Amino acid sequence: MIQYQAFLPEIWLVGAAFLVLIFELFYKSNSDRGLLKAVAVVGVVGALLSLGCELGCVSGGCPVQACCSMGTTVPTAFGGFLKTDALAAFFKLIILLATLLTLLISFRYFKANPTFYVAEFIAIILFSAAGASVLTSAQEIITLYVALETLTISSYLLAAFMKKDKSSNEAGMKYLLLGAFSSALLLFGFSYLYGFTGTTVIADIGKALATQVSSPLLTLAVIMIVAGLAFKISLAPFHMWTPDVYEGSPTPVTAFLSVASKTAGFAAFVRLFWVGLSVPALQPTWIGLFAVLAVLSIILGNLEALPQRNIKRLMAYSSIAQAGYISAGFLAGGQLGLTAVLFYLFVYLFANMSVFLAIAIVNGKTGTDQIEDYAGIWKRSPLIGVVLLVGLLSLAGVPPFAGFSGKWYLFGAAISKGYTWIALVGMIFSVVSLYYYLQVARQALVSEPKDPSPIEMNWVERAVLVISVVFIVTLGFWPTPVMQMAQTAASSLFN
Amino acid sequence: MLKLEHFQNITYTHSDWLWLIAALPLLGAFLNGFLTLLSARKVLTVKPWVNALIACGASIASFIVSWEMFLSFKKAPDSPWVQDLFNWVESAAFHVNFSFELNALSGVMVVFITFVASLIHLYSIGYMKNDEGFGRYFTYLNLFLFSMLVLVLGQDLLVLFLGWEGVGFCSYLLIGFWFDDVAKAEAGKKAIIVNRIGDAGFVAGLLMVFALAGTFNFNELLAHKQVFTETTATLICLFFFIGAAGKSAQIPLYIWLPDAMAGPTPVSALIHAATMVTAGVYLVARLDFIYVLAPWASTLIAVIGVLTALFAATIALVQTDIKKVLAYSTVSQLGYMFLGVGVTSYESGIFHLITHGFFKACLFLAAGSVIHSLRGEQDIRKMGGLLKHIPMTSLGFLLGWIAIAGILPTCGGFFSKDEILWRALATPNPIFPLLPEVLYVIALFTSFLTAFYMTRLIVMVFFGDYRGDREVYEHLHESPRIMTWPVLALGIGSMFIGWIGVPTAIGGADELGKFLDPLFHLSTLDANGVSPKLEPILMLLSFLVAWAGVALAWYAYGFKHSVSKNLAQTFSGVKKVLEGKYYVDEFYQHTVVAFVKAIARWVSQWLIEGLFVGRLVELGVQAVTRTAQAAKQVQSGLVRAYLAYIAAGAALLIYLFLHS
Repeated sequence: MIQYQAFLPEIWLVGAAFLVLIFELFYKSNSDRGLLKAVAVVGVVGALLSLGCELGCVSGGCPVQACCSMGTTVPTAFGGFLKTDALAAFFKLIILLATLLTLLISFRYFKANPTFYVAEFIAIILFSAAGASVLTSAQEIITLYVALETLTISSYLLAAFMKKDKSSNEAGMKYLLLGAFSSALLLFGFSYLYGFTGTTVIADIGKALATQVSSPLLTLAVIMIVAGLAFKISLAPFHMWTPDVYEGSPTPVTAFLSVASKTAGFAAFVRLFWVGLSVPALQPTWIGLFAVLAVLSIILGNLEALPQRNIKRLMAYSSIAQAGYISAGFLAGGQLGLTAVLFYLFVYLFANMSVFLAIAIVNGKTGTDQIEDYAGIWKRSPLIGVVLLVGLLSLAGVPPFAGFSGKWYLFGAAISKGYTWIALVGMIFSVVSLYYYLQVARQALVSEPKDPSPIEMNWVERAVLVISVVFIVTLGFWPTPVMQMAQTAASSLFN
Repeated sequence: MLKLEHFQNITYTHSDWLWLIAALPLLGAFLNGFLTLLSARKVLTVKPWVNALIACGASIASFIVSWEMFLSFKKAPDSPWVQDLFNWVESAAFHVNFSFELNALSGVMVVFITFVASLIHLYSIGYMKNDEGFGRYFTYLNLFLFSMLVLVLGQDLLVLFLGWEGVGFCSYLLIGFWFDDVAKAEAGKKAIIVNRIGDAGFVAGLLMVFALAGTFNFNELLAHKQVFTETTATLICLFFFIGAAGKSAQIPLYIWLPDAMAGPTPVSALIHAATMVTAGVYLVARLDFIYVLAPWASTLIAVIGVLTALFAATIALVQTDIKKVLAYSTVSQLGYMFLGVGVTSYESGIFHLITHGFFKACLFLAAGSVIHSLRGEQDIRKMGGLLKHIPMTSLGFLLGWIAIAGILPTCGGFFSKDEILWRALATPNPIFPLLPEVLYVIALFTSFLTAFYMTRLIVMVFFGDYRGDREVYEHLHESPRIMTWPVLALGIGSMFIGWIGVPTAIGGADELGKFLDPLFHLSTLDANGVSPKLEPILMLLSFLVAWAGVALAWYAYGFKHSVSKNLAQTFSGVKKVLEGKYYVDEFYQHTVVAFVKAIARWVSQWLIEGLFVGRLVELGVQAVTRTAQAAKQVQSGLVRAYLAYIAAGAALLIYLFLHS
């Protein structure tokens, strides 16, 4: 019997997407599509609620016992191909929150671009969120691959969504060509893996490989898989597409790619490597591989971010560096490392999303993404000034913001497993990163504005920005509640 | 020798509501802060009475809660109340629970703090009336109260430290409350910088405790106190004492407190007399189980305490600013408290902390009322004869004077000061056998000085003829009741507060001492070859000494003005030194400050600007820019190039990992 609880959030997302597409048919071309937005938000919030309910039931803490028809069993479906354990739920939480914030950013974007295809855009965002969400529960490599492609192919469309805009078109095209190539690499690796083990279920792959000795072909398969997936989370040297795509895509899409897509990529990594390939014959290889990629990403991402003048491009390089930091925790692994990865992703969600929301609001007023045009933003909107300062300093890992405790846990995990040198590179380049993050903050807070007219925003945006700042500061002082959630999630992998 | 009582298994009572004591003022601060913010942005106008109601309501509610809890706790004082609020920090071996504990010591402190704070909150309504920053003021005041309660209730050194820094921060905000005045902003800065030096000591102590014991929890530390050897305990105690000396204005870090009088007077009463500055004494008492292991550190504290008491009292003799006299008097009284805890008589230190809190708050509030009546005049040479014009305020001030001078047995600080003097004499010192006698004599002489300068103050302010401006005189008026009543309440309170600790030697019950005694980990004190029967006699002696001080001062300043003039002329050199406050500020300015500034200049101009930015960073920037330029070349924007890089990257990885 299928336990639909295992994919209830996805049902909400896909259902909302279809409803949006159907309702669109009844709209005249120039009308404000308020209902569509409402349906989309309800879909994501419904997904979040069902996720919360499921989490509550599994941990035995759900106040409404009626909704827990299955007691405390972890819901599984399709012969165990989907299993929404605490780890999947944590990833889903990040992805769903990122989707919600992306929708919010896109509403702002619709206003600035009236010719936008609102319904299609919302639907595709929801579809790709559904793909990312399924991916986190996938226990089998074909399911995982299909989910990943659902996410990625939707992303190609999203990146190219500004049909009349040359750079958006270019971004979509590049993303498609390079993405297809990386998918090919991934599939290539998967096929070898299947050839070696005769199964596609990740846990069984682990069991089958446990007794095998290392062989060149197996190593080749691992490298192919790493290369294919590293592309998705833009780890150097597979990061080349990132700046071009981030800069050219519509801002909500950039935000979505930088958080939701990246989180999904890490979810795939965690399942595949810490369950399937966590065997003595292979582990040293891929940990070494990740060490190289992490260090390269930290160095290249931070260095290349230095001369950037466009804030979206800067955020692209920043996200490459951030992927490097997270990989440091990932390769340390174990309870400690994975907890750190989950916690950092959660923090990264708020920091990155609030900054992108600020970028979208500023762009809506000024029509530019150049850092020099951020001069004196503080005077035009104090809240945006605060968000840029807090969000960017958190990304740089400055105490007392959450980014500091996040990096503390990541590097702490790396050091505890003996990868002190990676942590050291991370710390040194965090200092380098201060230069470009503070450059933006300095423009925003110190310089005089050329045009002093205030920047308006609606109360939802204001509330989201305030909540994000509160989260970033609170998690810096008091990380424990989220840490405990992350610990539960990480330990569900090892049970 | 000191006998250490072994740590017995204490049973704890779990309480669900301890958080309320601290949360109420926090809520008040949030509400007031929010309202003030909104009214500053002109979203809505907030009437001052709303701010006042929230702040005073929060403080009084907190007092009622703590009083109720204290009463029910008192029924079974052997089992402290504990509440684990949340898991604050969790990172491998570093684990901190945010938890509160109400035991005999923190219970007494909490009731005392919330009581005095409530009265001062009420008084502030009148004092700060018509001030532009009314809402801001009450926000800070409530925030301070919250921090102070966290400091006292914290069951963990780190939680205590949170409160410790919180009160320091609020003190900074309130000293520089009128920051338009540069001198006042500077005073705030001085306070926080000097406290930074002390806090560096505190942090060093924290790190050392953690390195040795692996925990910050008081009860776990107590259970594992065998990890502290005499050497490490001494070091820890000295580090914490640096922190305590900063916060509680002891030599050599006392210099910020007199300047802190730049803040509004109720702030001086609450923060810089009754509560915050006594945090150092509380810290030493809370860590008594480490301090009894370190006789050297305790001796040093006693010596510094008594020297500070003497030193500050001499400066107070010649001050002409009504608040400065009280400020130096506070420093001096804090010295007494440290003398008490330094001779390991923790309950006498805490006893004096409480009585002093009452009468000094009363004196400060009355002084504020005087200043209020005289339209901001603070120079006592321009006062005089105020008794008939502002009778209520005068009455309050005189009650405070009786309490601090110790001229009426059973009233005010008489018993508590006497207890400290007695313990200083009766506790044998393991290092210097003659020290108790020396401590006693200095402390006794200081009590003479105390009576002298306080009498000089009241004679110059309240008696004789008015010497100030005519214009001010014509508008002379008593302060509103919202100000005079709290003054009188504190004045009357300070008359009776001493009764909680009437010494057993004269047939008293010594309730406070007996209540606190089980908490402190000293069982008995052998008399220093001094018969307990001596205590009443010594009490009589200090009574006479105090009266001598009063009589002399009254004679010199009240009846025969020529005497004080002659005195001033004969000792003109001494007077000059005292008026210059021993030139300590100047000394620091030319040594410590000049040194630090020179280093700072060297670091910023030569090391950072010259070498680091000028050479190294320049080199680095060039290297980075070149790399970035090269990387930009790579980032050509051509899809085929990117594909080639991916392929090359994968190929390189394959080569690396298959080859090895």
